[in-house]
Amino acid sequence: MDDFDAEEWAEMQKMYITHTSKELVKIQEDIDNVAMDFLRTFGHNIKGSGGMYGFEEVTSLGTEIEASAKANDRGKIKILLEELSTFLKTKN
Amino acid sequence: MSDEELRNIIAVDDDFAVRMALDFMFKKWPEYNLILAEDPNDALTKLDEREYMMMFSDINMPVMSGLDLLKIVKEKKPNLPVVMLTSETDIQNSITAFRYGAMDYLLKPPTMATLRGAIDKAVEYREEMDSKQSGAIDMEDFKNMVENFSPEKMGLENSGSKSSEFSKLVNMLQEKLIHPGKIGRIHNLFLLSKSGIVIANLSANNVNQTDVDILGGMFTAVKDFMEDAVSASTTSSLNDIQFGNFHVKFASGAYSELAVVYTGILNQDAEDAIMDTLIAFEFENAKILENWDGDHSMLDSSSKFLEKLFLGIDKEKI
Repeated sequence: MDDFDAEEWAEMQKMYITHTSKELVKIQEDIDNVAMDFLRTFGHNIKGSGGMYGFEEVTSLGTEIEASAKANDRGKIKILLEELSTFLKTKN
Repeated sequence: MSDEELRNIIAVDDDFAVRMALDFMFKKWPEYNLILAEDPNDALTKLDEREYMMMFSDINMPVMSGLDLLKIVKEKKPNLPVVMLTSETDIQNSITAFRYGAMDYLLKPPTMATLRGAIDKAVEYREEMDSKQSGAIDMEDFKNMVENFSPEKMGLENSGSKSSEFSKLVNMLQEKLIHPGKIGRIHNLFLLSKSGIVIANLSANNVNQTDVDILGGMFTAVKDFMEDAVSASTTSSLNDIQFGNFHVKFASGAYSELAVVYTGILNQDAEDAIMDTLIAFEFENAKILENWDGDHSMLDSSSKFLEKLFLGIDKEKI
């Protein structure tokens, strides 16, 4: 965002990546047992927050995860979470 | 609100990342004091602890949704601007939010300009509300004055018969209006000439004709007093005065006044209906009202306007 200087923006993004990565690891560790509603909420949350930190890709993945959770498609969610993991690692 | 209270903004979101993003953003606006709440219950607790200028709220939250929170908050603090900040694109949610009284509905992720626009809009609204309140009579003071009215204490003992007339009016106010009867509805409608003669009245209470005549003059006196106190600063065409649990709302026309005695809250539709009734009455009777000498037979259709208004407002369930 133009309102932040590079240093502030980097601090924000770092905090977000750290926070989201931790959440993601917890989910992936037990992905077969995590409640679908929890996965839907996770997708919904990152859909809303990703763009606030300049990560439109996260918002996009969040939208897909939320939709897949509504469709009860755990297989698709696993793939999307892996994509999210890869994306966050590239930004870390 | 004090300047200090005007700085407080509360934001409710169960997502830590969103709360942190808001925290970063608000660091750019040191003139505001952002208080973060992690769920609706936390928000309700914090709302009780201090005054806020406005609230941002997410919708999709566990235990209680942001829409339920909005409903509760608007019941407790109807003047608090609430802006929904959500990823929910379901149109039904936005309709419900506006129906519950949300000021705006923003989709995540918001830009800083969007957030700032919502804050500025809320500031404008609060300033408008404060301006209305500062221009209005202090109803608590007025009620105390009516309850404790004494011509002697007010130095009116030598001002002739007018002070005793005014005493009579105040006594009537105390008897009829301060001591509450039924709650939550229209109690009386009075159509008055500008000089205070009752043209027609409709009552849900036991008010006899003598009372009606006195009440007519009383309303005119009270309204004159109120208008002097409020001067030209009010922007509303309807003046409202409170006595205990009762309110009297006045609508002013070119030749007449409509006074509505009610308890509870009048919604905007009811206010519009009051004004529309007065306009319709005057439109139909303009020629007679222009030179009306108090002959009720010339305005015998006036009761139908009050009956129609009474039924209309009753349906609105104020």
